[in-house]
Amino acid sequence: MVAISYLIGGMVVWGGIGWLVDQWLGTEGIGMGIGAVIGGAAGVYLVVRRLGA
Amino acid sequence: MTSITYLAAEESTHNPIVPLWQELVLGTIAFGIICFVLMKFVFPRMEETFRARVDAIEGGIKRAEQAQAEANELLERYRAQLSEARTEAARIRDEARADAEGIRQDLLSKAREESDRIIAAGRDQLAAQREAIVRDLRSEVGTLAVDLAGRIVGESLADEARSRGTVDRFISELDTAGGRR
Amino acid sequence: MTGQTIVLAADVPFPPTVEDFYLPSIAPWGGHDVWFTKVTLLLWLSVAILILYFLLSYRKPQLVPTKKQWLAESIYGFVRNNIAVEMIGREGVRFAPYLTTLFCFIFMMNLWGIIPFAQISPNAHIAFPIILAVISWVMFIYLGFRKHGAGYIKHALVPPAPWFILPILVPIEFFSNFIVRPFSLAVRLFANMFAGHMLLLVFTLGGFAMINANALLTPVSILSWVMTIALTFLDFAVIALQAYVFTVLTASYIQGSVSEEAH
Repeated sequence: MVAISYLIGGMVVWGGIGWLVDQWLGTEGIGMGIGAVIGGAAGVYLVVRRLGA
Repeated sequence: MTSITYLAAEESTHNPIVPLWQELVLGTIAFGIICFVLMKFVFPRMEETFRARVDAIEGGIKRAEQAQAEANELLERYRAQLSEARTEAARIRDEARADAEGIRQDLLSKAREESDRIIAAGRDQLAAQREAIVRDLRSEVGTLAVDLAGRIVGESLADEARSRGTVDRFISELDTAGGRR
Repeated sequence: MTGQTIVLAADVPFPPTVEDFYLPSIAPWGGHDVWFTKVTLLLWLSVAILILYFLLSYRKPQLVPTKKQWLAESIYGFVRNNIAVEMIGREGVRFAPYLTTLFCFIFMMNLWGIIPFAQISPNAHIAFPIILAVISWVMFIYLGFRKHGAGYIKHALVPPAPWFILPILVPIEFFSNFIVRPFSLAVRLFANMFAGHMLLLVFTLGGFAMINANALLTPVSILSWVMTIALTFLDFAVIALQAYVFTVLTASYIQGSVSEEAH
C-alpha cells in the first residue's frame, strides 16, 4: 500500500510539475516525461528507504 | 417526452464520486451521535471492566500466593515440630532405657544383697543352733555319762566338781580326737 | 421511473446505471428530495441499532460476563488488541474507543448491502466514506502536531536521505501522506460497496432481463439469480474486510503521527 502510494505519488507529482513546465515553455510533453521518470525513481528510492534493507 | 428529459437531467446531476452535500451533513451528524454515545458510555465502561477483571485475577493470584506461602510456613513449622518431637521421643526412649537398666541393676543388687542377707542369717541361725545343740549335748552327755557311770559303778559320784571336770576333759579329748581325725 | 431494485418481472431497466444508487425520497411528499431516502434511513438505522445493541448488552457489566456482554466485549477487545495495540502499541488503548466505533459503524453500514430488502450500503454513496476519511485525516494531522509541535512537518515530510535529493522527495512525501491517504481511504471503501451493489444489480436485473427477452432463457436467469446468492456471500467477506482495512489504515496513520522515529 505504502509502496504503491509512493510510486504513483512520485510519478504523478513530478509528472505534474513537468507538465506545468511544458505549459510554461511550450514544449510538447518532454518536461512531463522527464518529470515522471524522476518521480518514479524517487518513489523507488523512498520505498526502498522506508520498507527495505 | 417530459419523462425522458427528466431522466436525462437526472442522469447528468448524479456523479457517483461527487458527494451529495445533504448526505455529508446527515452522515456527519449521525457519526457524531454514534461516536458520542459509544465513546462516552460504552467503551470506557468496557475498559473499566477489563481493568477490574485484571485486578480481580491479579488479586486472586496474589491471594493464592499468600495462602501458598502461609501453607508453606505452616508446613515448615509442623515439620520442625515433628522433628523436635522425634528427637524428644528418642531422648525419652533412651532415658527410659537407661532408667530401666538402672532399675534392673538396682533390683539385681538388692536381690543379691537380700539373698546374701538371708544366707548369712541362715548361717548365723545354724551356727547358733549348732552352738545350742552342742551346749545341750555337752551337758546332757555329761549327765548321761555320769548317770551311766554311776549306774555301772553303782555308786553316786558325789564329787560334783571332780565329775564335771572329768566330763569336760573327756569331751575335749573327744573334740581333739575328732579334730585330729 | 428508473431506480429501485424493482422486483417485478415486467419493465426492468437493464443494464443498471448510476441512477439506481440514487433512490427517491421515502416520504411520499418528498419527490427527489435527498434528506430522507432509503440510504439516509439505513444510516439512521445503523446508528440506532449500534447504540441500542451496545447500551443494552452493556447495561449492567459484570466481572464474569453474560453471553451478550461477552459478545459486545469481544468486539471491542478485538479492535482494541488486534488493531489499536497491535498497530500503535501501549498507548493505542487511548484510540481504541474511536477505532471500535469506526469499525462497527463501517461494518454495519456495509452490511446493509447484503441484508434482504435493504441491499444497498450507504457507503456506496461516497459522502459517507468521505466523512470518515476526512475525520481520520484531520485526526492524524492533529495528533502529529500535538505530539511533535511544528516539528511534525519535518517528521512527516522529510525522509532520511541526502540533502540534495530532498527537494525531489519532499513533494512526493507530501502527496502520498496528505493527499493519497484520505483519498484512498474514501475511494477504497466507496468503490468496494459500489461495485458490490452493482454486481448484485447486474445479476438480479440481468436475470429478469433475460427471462423477459425470451422464455427459453429461463435456466440462464435462474443461474444468474443463484450467482446473486453466491455473490452475496462473497460480499459479506468484502464487507468485513473493508471495515477492517479502513480501521487498520486509520490506526497505522495515527501510529505514524504519534511515533517517535520517522514513520
